[in-house]
Amino acid sequence: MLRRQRVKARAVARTRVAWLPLAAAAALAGLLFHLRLVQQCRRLAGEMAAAERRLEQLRQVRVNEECRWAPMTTLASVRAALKRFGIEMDWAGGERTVYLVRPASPPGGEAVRGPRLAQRVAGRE
Amino acid sequence: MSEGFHRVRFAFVAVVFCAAFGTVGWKLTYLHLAYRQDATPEAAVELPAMRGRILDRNGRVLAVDTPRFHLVADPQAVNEAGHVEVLAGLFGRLFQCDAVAFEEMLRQPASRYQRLRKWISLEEADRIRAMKLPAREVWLEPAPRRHYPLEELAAHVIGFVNAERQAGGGIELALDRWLRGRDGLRKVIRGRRLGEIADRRPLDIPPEEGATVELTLDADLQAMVEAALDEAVRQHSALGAWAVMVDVRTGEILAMASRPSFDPNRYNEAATDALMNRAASYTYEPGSIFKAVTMAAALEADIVRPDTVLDCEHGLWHYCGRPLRDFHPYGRLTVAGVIQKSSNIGAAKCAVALGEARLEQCLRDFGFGRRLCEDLSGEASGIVPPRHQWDPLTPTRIAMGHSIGVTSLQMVMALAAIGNRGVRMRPALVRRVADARGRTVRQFAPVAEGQPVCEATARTMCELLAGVTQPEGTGRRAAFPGYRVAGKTGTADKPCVGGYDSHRNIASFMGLVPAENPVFALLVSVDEPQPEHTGGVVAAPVFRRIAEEAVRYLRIPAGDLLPHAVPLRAEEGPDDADWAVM
Repeated sequence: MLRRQRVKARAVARTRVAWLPLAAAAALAGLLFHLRLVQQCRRLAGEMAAAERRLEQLRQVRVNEECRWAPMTTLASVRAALKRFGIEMDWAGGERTVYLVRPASPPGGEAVRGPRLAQRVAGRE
Repeated sequence: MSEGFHRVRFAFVAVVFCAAFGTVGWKLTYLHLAYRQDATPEAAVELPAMRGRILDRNGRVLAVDTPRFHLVADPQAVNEAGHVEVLAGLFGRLFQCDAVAFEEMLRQPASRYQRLRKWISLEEADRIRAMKLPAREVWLEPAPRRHYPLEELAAHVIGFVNAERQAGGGIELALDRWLRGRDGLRKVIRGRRLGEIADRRPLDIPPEEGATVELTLDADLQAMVEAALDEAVRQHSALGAWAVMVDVRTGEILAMASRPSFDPNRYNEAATDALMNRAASYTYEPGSIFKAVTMAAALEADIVRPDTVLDCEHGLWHYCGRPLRDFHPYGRLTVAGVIQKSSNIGAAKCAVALGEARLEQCLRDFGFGRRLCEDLSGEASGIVPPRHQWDPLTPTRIAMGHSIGVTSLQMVMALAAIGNRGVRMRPALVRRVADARGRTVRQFAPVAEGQPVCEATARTMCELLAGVTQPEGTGRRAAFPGYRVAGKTGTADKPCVGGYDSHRNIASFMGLVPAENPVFALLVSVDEPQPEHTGGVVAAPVFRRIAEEAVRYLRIPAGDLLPHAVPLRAEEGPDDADWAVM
């Protein structure tokens, strides 16, 4: 009887002892998981901050290039460039321009020169 | 070993184990859950909004915020590190200037903040970054700056933004509420090395970039106009010159230029006089170009017809005891001739016949005496005295463009109304306003503001004005092959103490192209040209130069030359001409 009681008490003690490391292990696992999440958040935040900086840099470069490009496309710049390469070029005058008008019925289009088109626009034809 | 010893040993390990993990757990819990903001270095960072861009009608950039930087040093740190000579030499070579200046700025051991160079470009900033200088001694401070890549082009229309980011005129001021955007705010937690802990931002409000404003101006047409004005000022040694070009059908302002001008990138170096947009802010007596308005009103009221004959008194007419003279003496002229020869006496007689009430109503209907364009900052309203302040002479003076103050914009819009079958459009300078995401927040739509004259009168006026650029007209120098120009010359003496100074005047020409179906209206004025001073000699050639180029650029088809339907001189008129002599 005494022996049986002793065996039972030992079994209870073993159960109590097993509970503690399990709880500790679970807590440790939770902590490690939490740490991993924190680390991932920090890494992602770092990446986002770097992307923000990169975006800002690219925007600055784009604006800078726009500013350099804009004066190159002005009339004065284009004319200066043409002159530098000895090219004589200007907008075509009315006598050298062919105006195409969408055909009403015949296919293939109709070429109308300046004065006639002016008449059409004025509603005289 | 006894069972008791095992128990004690196990309990000891368990306690140590729990204590260790408990401590770590407590610390983690404290750091992540019981985190106290007041115990950490938190900083508020202002995120300045980029000001919106200003574009021309073809999307060309006229104004934009550019990345610029200030090069800043901590002289105390530099002196402690003994880097004064090294840094001064480096910056001297980089900016190609004397290193001594940098050395003087750095040799101030008491100072903790010194701007070594302002507004350095992105390329220079990149070169400095590549040097990897010690961050606690030298660093770059972002300082975005408004930049106008086309420099003087349309400077008066665009305006400028000063170093404190305050708009100082033009579209920059008029549309400041759209352009300026909204600054952002970020609260950050700094780490041990004062770098941001990126995953901890208590507050992050991103900045809202300003809206993009698309103007009705065409940079190419603007360049043509400005080149012609520069040439005119140089050729005639003029005090200034200005021009406005508008789309007759929509009222869109295609070009608006004023001389003298300034570079908005260096607005602080400009003379006060150069900042004024004379095309919209300068009120002046327009002179004979105003006869177009007077005669249109007289035709509209059916007081005269194009073939009505007026006695121009051989150049001198006394009315209410005061003489009125013509530049050249004429006998009898038809109304068409009065316009073509620009007879003051003929126009004055029309105004007298029209009557004060109808003349005043006509002025109001054409938009004189009030501001026309809400987007144009600094626009003057002109001076149109109310009728009860008129004396009997006033109508005769208003008829030829005196005793009234107008702006060039008002004048050209009145002409555009004649060219647009009598319908007066509201002048527009802004085509579209789009927010940073490209969504349209404001869109231009043509607005008709009234019809001062009927279509028939407008067409008749176009024909009469086309006579001005014929070989016998005062504006013949404005004519060019392939197109008919309907225009009017004007030479207005400037007022001085006790009267008018005939040596100081404003020469003007305004016209519609092409006359039979006008596309654009253009007004050119030259201030105090020397030695020639008449609108026909000074302003008409400038008009021609601009218009000749513009018709090709705008691809306006050349029209055929229509024969004149109106007799120009009474003597040349048909037998059944109206010979009513006034």
